[in-house]
Order: sequence, then C-alpha cells, then structure tokens
Amino acid sequence: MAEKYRATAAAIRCVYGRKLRQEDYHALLNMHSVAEIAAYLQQKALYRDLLAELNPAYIHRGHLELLLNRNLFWQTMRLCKLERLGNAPFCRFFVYDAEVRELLKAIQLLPSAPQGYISAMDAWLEPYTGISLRAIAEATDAQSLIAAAAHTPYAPILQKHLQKDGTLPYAPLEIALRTAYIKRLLTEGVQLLGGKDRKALQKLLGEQIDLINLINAFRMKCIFHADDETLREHLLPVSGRLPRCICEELYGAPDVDTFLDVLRSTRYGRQITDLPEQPEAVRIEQAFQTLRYRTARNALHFSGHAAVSLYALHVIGQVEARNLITIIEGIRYGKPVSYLQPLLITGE
Amino acid sequence: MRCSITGGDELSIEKLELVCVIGEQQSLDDAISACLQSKVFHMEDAGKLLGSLGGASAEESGCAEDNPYEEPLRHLAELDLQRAAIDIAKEPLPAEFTVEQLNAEISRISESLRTVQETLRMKRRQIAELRSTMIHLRYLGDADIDLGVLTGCKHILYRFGRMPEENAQKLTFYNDERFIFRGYHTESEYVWGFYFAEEEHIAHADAMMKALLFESFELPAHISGTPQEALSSMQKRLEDTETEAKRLEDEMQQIYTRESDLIGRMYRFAKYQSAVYKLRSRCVRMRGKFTLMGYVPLAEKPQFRKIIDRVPGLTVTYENPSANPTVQPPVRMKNGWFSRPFAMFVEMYGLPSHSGFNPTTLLAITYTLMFGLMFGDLGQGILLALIGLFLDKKKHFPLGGIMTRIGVSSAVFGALYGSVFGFEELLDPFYEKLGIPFLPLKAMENTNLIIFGAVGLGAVIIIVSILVNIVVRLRQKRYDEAVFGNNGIAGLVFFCALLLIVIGILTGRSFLNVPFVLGLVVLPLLMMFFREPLGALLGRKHYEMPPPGDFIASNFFECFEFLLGYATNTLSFIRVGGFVFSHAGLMSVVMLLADMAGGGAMPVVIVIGNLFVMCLEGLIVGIQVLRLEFYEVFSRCYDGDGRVFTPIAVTFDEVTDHRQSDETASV
Repeated sequence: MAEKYRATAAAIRCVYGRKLRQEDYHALLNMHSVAEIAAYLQQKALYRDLLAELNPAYIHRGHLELLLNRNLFWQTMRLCKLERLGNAPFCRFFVYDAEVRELLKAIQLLPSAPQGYISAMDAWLEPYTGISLRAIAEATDAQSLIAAAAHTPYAPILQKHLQKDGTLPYAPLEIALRTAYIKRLLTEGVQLLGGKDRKALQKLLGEQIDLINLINAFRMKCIFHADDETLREHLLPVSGRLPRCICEELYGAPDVDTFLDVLRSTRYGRQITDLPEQPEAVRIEQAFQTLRYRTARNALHFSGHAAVSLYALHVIGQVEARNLITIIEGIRYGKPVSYLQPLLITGE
Repeated sequence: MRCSITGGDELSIEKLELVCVIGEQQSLDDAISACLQSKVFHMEDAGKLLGSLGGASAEESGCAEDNPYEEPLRHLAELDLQRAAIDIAKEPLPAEFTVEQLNAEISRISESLRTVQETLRMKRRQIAELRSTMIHLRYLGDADIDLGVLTGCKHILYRFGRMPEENAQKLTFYNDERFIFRGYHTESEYVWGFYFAEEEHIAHADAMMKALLFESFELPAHISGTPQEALSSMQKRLEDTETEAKRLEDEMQQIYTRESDLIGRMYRFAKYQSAVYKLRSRCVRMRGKFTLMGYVPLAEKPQFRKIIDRVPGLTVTYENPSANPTVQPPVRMKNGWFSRPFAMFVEMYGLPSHSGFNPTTLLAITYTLMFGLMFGDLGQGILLALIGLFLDKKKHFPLGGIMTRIGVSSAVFGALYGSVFGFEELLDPFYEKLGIPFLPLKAMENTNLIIFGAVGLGAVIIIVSILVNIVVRLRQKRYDEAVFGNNGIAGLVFFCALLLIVIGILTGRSFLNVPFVLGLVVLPLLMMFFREPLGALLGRKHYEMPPPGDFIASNFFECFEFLLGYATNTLSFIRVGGFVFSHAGLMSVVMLLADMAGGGAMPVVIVIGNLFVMCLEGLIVGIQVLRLEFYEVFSRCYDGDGRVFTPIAVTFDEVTDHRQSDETASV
C-alpha cells in the first residue's frame, strides 16, 4: 500500500517543507501591521493568495479562521486527489474533523438559532461533507438538529445525549463526538494499514489522545479545581500510549503539584525539559501543544505511508493556522513580541 | 610644558603620540574645535586614561550636561532638509549664531511654513479619501442606480461595502428579515454591494451583516448620479484637488529655496556645536581646568600642532603611547600602493595591535601569488584586471584594487601555463620561437611538479610565517613564545628538520643520523614540551609546576597536536595545485562543449563558458586563498586584537535624523 502512494508521500513532504519556519515566525512577530504580514505571507507559496484581499482595518478573527481552515482543508484535499488517496478508508479524516466541528458549532449556537450558526457556519464545506449544513442551519431546536444529522454516524450520539428538557449539552457531546471521531480513525486506520505503518498511525493517534487528555485534565485541575468524577467526564474515553495505571495516578492526583509530579515521570513529562515547579496554566498548555506538534512532526519525518504523513501534516497545519491567528490578532491589537512569542507553538 | 618623546612601532604601523591638552574651562570648546579641524586627532576618554594612570577619580571624569544645540537641531530636522537642498560640504563658521538666534530663526521659518503645510496636509487627505472612494465605486461597475437618491433617503438607510462571497450565499437564510442586500460585483471572493433597511431596522441589519463579516465603506454625502457619473465627477474633483496640492507644494518649495542658505548654515552650525558638546563628555574637568587626551600620528603632528597652538592658554604635551601601558593605543596601518587594497582582508580578520605587526604586505604578496597559481589564464587574468581597474577607479568598489592585482598575477601565470581563455595551444608557437623548451608548463602533463610545488610553496609560506612570528614576539619581549613555542625557534627547527627528512625520503638521500635526530628533532621537541617552565626561566618569572601527571599528559597532547598541525597545514596547500588542475579541467570541458555545439554556436559557448568559469572558479579560488591566509598564515604570526584609529570629525550628511552619530569617532 505504501508503494502505491509514494507520489503523495513526496508531495506531503514538499508541502511540509514550505511550512513556516522559526525565522518566518520571528520576522512576522516583528512586523508592525496586518498589511505587512499579508505582504510577507504572499511571498510564501502556501499563503500566496490567501490574505491578499484581506482589509487590515476590518480583519476579523472569525474570517481569518475561516480562510486558514479552508486553506488547510483544500490543501489536504488536493493531496488526497493526487493518487485518489481520499477513496481509501481513514483518509477522509479531515472531512470527519470538519463535520464534528460544524456539529459542535451548531450545538453551541443552538440557543441563538438559526442566526447564530448561520453566520458562523463554514458554508464552503457543504459540497464535501456527509451531513447537510443547510439542514443544520435551518434547525431551530435539538430535535430538528438531530433530524438534520439523520443517516449519519452522529445522529445516534446526539439522540443519546438529548436531555429531557429538549436541549443538547455541549461539554459531554464534545467529548462523545471527538471520541467517535478518534475511534473512527483508529478503525479505518487498521483497515487501511498494516505492519509498521499501522503501528506508526496508532502511535501518532495514541500520543494525540494522551496529550489532548493531559491538556484537559490539567485545565480542569488547575483552573476549575474539578473533582475526580468531573475531570473524567472531560477526558476522551480512549486509551492512548500512557499505561492505564499512570493515567489513573495522573487523573486521580489530589492537587496540581501531585499531578505535575506524576507527569514528570511520564514519557511526556520527561520531554518537557524546562517544566518549572509551579507552572502557569497557559505555559503548561503551550508545552503540551508543543509536544503534540513534535509528535506529529516526528511521524511525518519517519513514517513511510502517505496516510500517516497526511494526518501528521494536518495536525501541523492546524498548529500553524493557530499561530498565524495569534500573530495577526496580536499585531492588530499592538501586543509586544515578548507577549506573543511564548504563545506560538513552533516545536522548538 | 612640552615634551616630544617619540613612540610607536615599526612593521608598517603608523607611529602615534599620546597628546594631553590642558587649559582653562572657557577654552574647552575652542580646544575641541581645534582637534576637530586638525582631522588627525583620535580622542580618548580622558577620565579612563587618567584613571588608569592614577591621576583622576571616576567622579572627575566627564560631566553630564544639557546640550543646548539638541533642541534647535531637532527642530531643524523636522524641516524638510532634503527639500531645502542644503550644502553639506561647507564648514560652519565659528560663533555664527547664538542659541537664541537659532531658535528665533527656526521659529520664523516654521511659522511661515505652517499654514501652507496644514493646507497641504488637508488636501492630501482629501486626495486619499477621493481615491479610496473611487476604488470602491469601481466595484459597482455599470450599476443603474442613482447614488444621489440613496444618500438623500431619509427613511430607508443603506450601507455600502463588501462581504465574503460564501457569506453572501448565507443571505438566503435571511429571506424573512427586514433588510435586503444587493450585490453588484464579485472579485477575489468578495461581493460588493449595498444593503438597505428601514431606519428602525438598520441597527438589527447592521448586527446581522457584521456577523456575516460585511465591511462597510462610507460614500461621501455629496455623491450623486450613477456610479459611472459619480466616478467622473469625483475624477474632476480629484484633479482639482491635486492641482491645488501642487500649487501648495510649489509655494512651500519657494519658501525652502528662499531660506535654503540660512537653513543650511544653521544646520551645519548646530550639528557642529552639538558634536563639540558631546565630545565634552570625554574630557575631565575640575577646579576650572579641563584635560582632554587622544592620539595623533607622528607624521601629522606638525599639522596638529599648528592648529592647536592657535588656541591661547593651552598646555599641550606629547608622549610615547607606551607611557600608559594599560591602555592599548589605536592603530593606523601604513601600506604601500600594492598592498593597500588588501588591508580590507586584514581588517576583516582584526587589526594588529599597536605593538604588533601589520601583515598586509605579506598577505598581499602571498594572496596574489597563490591566486595567480590557482587561476592561471592569460585572457581571463587580463579581463579580471580590467574589470578590477574599472570597479576601482570608476565605482570605488573596495575589491576592485584586489581584482586588478590578482588579475595581473593570473595573466602572468596564464602565460607560463600557455592558457588563453581556455585555448591551451595558443602560446606554443611563441615559446617555440623564443626557444624555451620547458614552457608553456602544461598542468595536466606536469601533475607531480604542480602537486609537490604547491606543498613546497606551502612549506615556504609556513616558514616565513614562523620567522615573522619569531621577530614579532622578540620585539614584544615574549621570549617564551619566540624561542620555545611551536611557532618559535624550536618549532621552526623541528619543522625544517621534518621537511629535510621528507625531502630525503623523496630524493633517496638520507639525512637521518644521530646528531641530526638528537639536535634537530628531539631537542626542539623537548623544548616545545617544556616550553612553559623554560619560558618562565628565560623571562625570570615564577612558574608553578602542575602535578607531573597533568603536566605530562597536557604537554604530550599539545605536542602531538603541533606535530599534526605541521603536517595538515602543509598538506593544506595541496589545494593550490588542485585548483590548477581544476581550472584546466573546467576549461577543457568548455572547449569540448564548444566543439559539440560547433558552427556559429561555438563562440557563444566559449564566451559563456569563460564567464561561468571566471565567476565560479574565481570566487572559489578567492575564498580558498583567503582561507589559507587566515588559517595557515595568520594563525601562526598574527593576533588581530587592535582597535582602529578614528580621528574625530563631524558629518553633515545625516540630514534626516540628527540623533544618528554626529561624529565618525568611536563615541
């Protein structure tokens, strides 16, 4: 199978080679206006036309996110089309991801339906998704939303979480939908890949699961001071690479200090070399995100299969989009470089 | 009190004298001005110098004071000095203005400019707004709407602007809302158009459209007619405003032209005086007296003395720089016409110290020689020399002089190799006619000679470097390095002995006998091994012996490294020979390609090939030779820890920002 998609794998590495580097971020951080950023990014092959028409005076985070997400989606789709990789199981992961994001947006904005979701929806996704975004946009309550998602794998999940008062709770649904997404990727990944490639994908997904759970656990413990039960409600109920006993020890830690002590003994804690005694919440989250980025980058460097590389590239692309939004918003609001620099995830 | 003890050093480094000027405080500005006018005075921080001599405390050195010329200079810089076209070549007259006069004149000029500038600024803003509106209106294309009617509406309000195309598609969800959107033009994923709503619903519509990322642009209130008609009328207004702006520009220019001479004089005066004020901070003042110190080249001392003596009441003393051994005097290298351009390379590595040696001549000779050897081609060498001459004389390009010299060297060696633009047989008849049988020296037919010649040349250059190092260290009284160091007498003897052994092996003659080995190999090696205690003994200094194990281990490995260094540094010169072959090889490829191209394409291929080889190989050879100079020569005999002699001077060409350095001196 890996032999078959060799051109795609090469193209993915080529795209990765064009991603922003440390020196690009450094240059961008030292710019004085959004117009300068747009001009700089126009020199980059991946962003040549993206921000050209953006009006610096009116730039809006929502629009920026839309443009960057769409750019990333289309980039992944173009890579899939190269050797019809998109027809293979697993390789529509970016479409599933977009579907889950749209559903979560619709659930979150259901109280202000339909206008809330209409203005936030990514209408450009409509031709590619398995769910009707138009039907979701027209939904005014939970029942009509479930109806709009009928005949999709998401309908039973929504139905299961429908409350007696006719509402859909966001937090549990986010976990449920994300879990369904991860499980789907694991199942389809196993169908598509074998041997070393399957292991590489399982490793990558396992690490992503661990890090997402670690971020959520730390956030719940440090910011919300959540108890054990509440914390577990906000974790993906899928096993990652961390042994179950370590997970139990981590999530059952009575306080943040104990959590950090256990974390230091894990494979991830050991990689965060400068983990301070009492880190700030933002700082530790950045460290986890950096690890997420690094695991994806390693997978891209060492994996032989295009599907694994494509998923890793997608994760890296998401991080890059987030970095760009941080920089553009920061420059727009006149934030100093010292404030913005630590917010960026560059893997360094 | 005037004393004239001559100091300084030889070895192509200009001799300097340490000058100390003492006078009454009221003469300070005149003294600094005299130093500035001399153009040969390198000013030092007198506080530091006196402090190092034990003559002044830190509190006495320098004085922070407000510079009264900063303010007028700042106001002058706010004027458009480019437009005033001031003459920066002229020197300011002393005491031409007082600070009050400067401020009064600057205020008068600024006042006369203010009204014109403000009107001009307003007109420019109008032009920018008109252009922006016109750009936006063009997106309405040929829309059949009367903009005057729109802007005149009282109950129905409108917004003009653009929104992302995909968000415009979402408007189908808002059919029941009490506003309508009309798009007129789609470009780059944006739809341009209007939305309309009744007065009481416009806030709701604004909120919805904002959520859909509608960007609103205001149309001027006076706009009327269709977009095309509005554009025509705005074009007319734009032209009128531009004409008015042009008239104001001319008016402003007239004011600047009228005041140009005065602005120029004031600017130069303020800049000069400001620089003098800044230099005051390097003087020491106490009890109504000042002391300023610096260095003057011995050759230019009469010129300096003539100017400083004009200031009455000053006591000027001239001393040998070595009188103050704690401060390293600056350095000005003395180079002949041939080696002068190569000073650039020496500066790149680092200037020599005042008591050191100027390696420019050595570098110039060896660089020229090695480049010629490696890049020998009569035609290309002459062309390189001509290009260098042009760059040097016409463009004042620093590398021009170097290119001329190495070009000539290349041409000479090219003549010896018989190579002219890659034609290797062109000079054969010439040498045959002259009856010189061993010329031309074909590179490919004399590989051994070229390889061994290159290594031999390297050995000679290394020996010369060691000899230079011995002389310099002896002059600096660093006897341990001069006698026992790996680049001292012991190292030289050892290296020469090794060379003799190698020559003996190659020629079949053996120099190896007991006295030779003991005297020229073992003894120097032992001297290098014990160089530290022996050096201390020679210099009558105390030497603390480390533990025997440490001493033996560290000196063993150091001596081993010296041994390796001699071998690798000498063999490093093989590249000189390597490039002789590479040049010949590359040119033969060019000729082969030219033959393959044949016919009319042949001259084109030869020209392009020659240019390619010149650029590529010329650059590589230039870098390689520089590498040999820095690593194999400079590392043996040169420290490069000096600082540059920079006479204080005021530059007037920084007219845009007076905050930039006023003096070229290292303030």
